Amino acid sequence: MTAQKYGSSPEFFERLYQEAEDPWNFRNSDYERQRYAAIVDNVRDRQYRSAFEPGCAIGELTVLLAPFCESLEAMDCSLTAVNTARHRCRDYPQVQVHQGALPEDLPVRRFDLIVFSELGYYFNRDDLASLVIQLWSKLEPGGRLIACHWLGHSDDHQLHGAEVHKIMARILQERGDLKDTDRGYALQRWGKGNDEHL
Amino acid sequence: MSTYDNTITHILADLPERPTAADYRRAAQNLLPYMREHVPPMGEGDSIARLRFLTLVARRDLSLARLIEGHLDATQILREAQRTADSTKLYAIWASGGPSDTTKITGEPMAGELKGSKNFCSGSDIVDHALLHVNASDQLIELDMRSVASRERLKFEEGQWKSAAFSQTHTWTVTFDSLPITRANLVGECKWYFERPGFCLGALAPAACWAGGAMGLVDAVRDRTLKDGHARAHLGAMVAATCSMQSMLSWGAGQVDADPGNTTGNMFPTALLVRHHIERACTEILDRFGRTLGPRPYVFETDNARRIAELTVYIRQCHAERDLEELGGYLENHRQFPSAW
Repeated sequence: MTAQKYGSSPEFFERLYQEAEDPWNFRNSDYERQRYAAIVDNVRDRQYRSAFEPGCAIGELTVLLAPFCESLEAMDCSLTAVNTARHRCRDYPQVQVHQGALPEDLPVRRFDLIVFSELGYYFNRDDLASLVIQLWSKLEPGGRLIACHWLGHSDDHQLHGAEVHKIMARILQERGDLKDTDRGYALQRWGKGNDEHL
Repeated sequence: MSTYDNTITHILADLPERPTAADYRRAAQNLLPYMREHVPPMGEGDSIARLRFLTLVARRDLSLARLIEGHLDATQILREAQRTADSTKLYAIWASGGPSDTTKITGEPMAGELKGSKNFCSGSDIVDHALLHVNASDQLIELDMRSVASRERLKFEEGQWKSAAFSQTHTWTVTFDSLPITRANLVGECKWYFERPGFCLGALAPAACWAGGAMGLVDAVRDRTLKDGHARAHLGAMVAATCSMQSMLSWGAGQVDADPGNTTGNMFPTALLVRHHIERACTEILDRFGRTLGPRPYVFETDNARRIAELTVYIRQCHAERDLEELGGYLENHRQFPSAW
């Protein structure tokens, strides 16, 4: 890997995926499999009309989320990763994987599930704050935002995972209905209030 | 455009062409995290950022701006009263007076009942909390609009509002059928609402919304091909008017930041001056807009027809010659106001 202070450009990720199909060992690492299982455990109690997973990488989490979604829009900035993810999710026609980066390619439509996993570190504080505000505005009343980030240190991160979750909690101020930071990652879930009176 | 402006633009892009009250509620709720994060209070050094935010919202949609302006005013009032606002809820301020306002608290304030009716309650069934100015005792109170008592003892009269302008912000008449009031509902002492310095500071906010509405009209002119020299002349005059509105808002914000406690007594005439100027500039832009584009936008264009109607109503929030008379009276007795260059 080339030394680079902050690796968050699409070129950086594209190069990683071209050098190795699974650069973070998402498929076989016990840590990642356990982390995915924890995310799925916290979404599986219902079905979602329309879900969004930005930064889907090679689609390992996407394929686990798919059974609970009538439609799932997954996105990654690396075309190589997008192609791998498409192949991984080929049995789920409700999954659409396309190339795109946040915040510029944030979809126009609204969602009732947004999974924000391993992505927040690649933004600076201000950009993350703006992004979280925008993601929240894309959530339907009653919808869920679930965030999960590793709590270790990496040179290509602009923010520590704990800081990502701190910023999200400060901005959302809604009471998260779940908080788990004991297994080397932070996992939090926020629900947007249901609005039945109008 | 800054990242912050982009964030607002993105959130506002969600509004449909003909928003309903539910759409406005959702848009206002979606702006809450942005407001908590980026919109500073009035009079604490960056008032212009607050006014500019309102202008941006109004430029997109005046109905939404009307709701947001009320929310920001109400939460600022609670801050001044050192009461905590629930930052995840929408607030409104209902303080319109006049002879039709029959609100009063009967019995003791510790265990009284709110009776009577109030006009011009913007967002009446949209907001979660409302600050209500009780006319008879000049007392501000806070109401939880979602409480069981509120649901049972509040009546909304939607029939009085005849205009298409602001029809979806539900600016209805609210009637209170002996709603129980305790000391916990009271915000400040009697007379506090109008006497606090913040009242003068908050008076700039509606003007920022008027300015934004007029800028939306100018945007509509700039989005199309100018058909002749007359159109170009009008555009020149309209953009000059928007620049002078921006300058006046900046000047007013600077005055407020320099004397947030209103120790000079200049803050209310300052607000009157800014509001007058902006009301005139908006009237000029409304006039020139029609002279430039003719009747079509009034009748064929959903967004512009509504923007024209709403701006026309909104600027009537100023008290025209009565405000000018008050300003003139102040000037008569204060030779040093406004301070010389």
